[in-house]
Amino acid sequence: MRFRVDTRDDIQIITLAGQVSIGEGVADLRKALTSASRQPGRRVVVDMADVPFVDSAGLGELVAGSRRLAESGGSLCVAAARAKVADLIRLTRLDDLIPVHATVEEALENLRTGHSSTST
Amino acid sequence: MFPIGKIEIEFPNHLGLLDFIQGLGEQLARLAGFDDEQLLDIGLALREGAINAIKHGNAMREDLRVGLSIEVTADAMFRMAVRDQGAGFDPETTPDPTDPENIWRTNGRGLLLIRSLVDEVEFVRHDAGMELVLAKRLPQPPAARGEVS
Repeated sequence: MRFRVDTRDDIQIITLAGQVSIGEGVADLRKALTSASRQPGRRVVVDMADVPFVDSAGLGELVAGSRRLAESGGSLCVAAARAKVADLIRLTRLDDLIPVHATVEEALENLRTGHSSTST
Repeated sequence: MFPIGKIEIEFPNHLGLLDFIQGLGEQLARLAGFDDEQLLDIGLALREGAINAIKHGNAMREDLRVGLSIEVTADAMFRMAVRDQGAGFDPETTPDPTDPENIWRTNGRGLLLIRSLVDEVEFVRHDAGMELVLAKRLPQPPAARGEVS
């Protein structure tokens, strides 16, 4: 898996490309989210448009990252997830913890206005 | 159409083989007539089953192995069985990961995923190890009888 980090309006966007699965994919995601959580109050959007699938370890890493960010006063949400990935997030009820947005723009707009609702 | 038959393989107990195992399941499922979305369901379920066997059943021990069989059965099911050689675990005591008190856990979601991705899930306890049997109904009945070589 590859990832790219951009910042817009003080919101970090982590764009993932490839499978988020046990091993290298999870390690890369952990690296990106750990780095983000070092800054108190950091808000993060994880763009998953180019993630074909996520396994249980990948879901667990999203939970771990969300927890670390919350502990430092920040937040994490997911955007642009493919149908299967969004289905798995909903199935495991992780959308109760991690808002899921249809697009990155929608996620940014929700963060700017202080909303946290799940839209997909 | 994938004929009725069975493929059996044994793997070293190594997480690095997961992509291969998932890919094998998806390729055989394609031959059996599943569409792209169903292929991903089958591949992901098999991947989670293999993770379960390697990590939990065989406890990451390199001296143990994982058995895999894949078959199209006469009752129109695509059946995958993953067998470990370890002490196994009790699926009945696995905590519900959607329970609010477990929702922040970073593991324990594999079985929930598996159950959502295939039509039937069964655990068979053997003298040495546990077998996880996953089955998904074929999109159309198998065409002919014959062993897969």
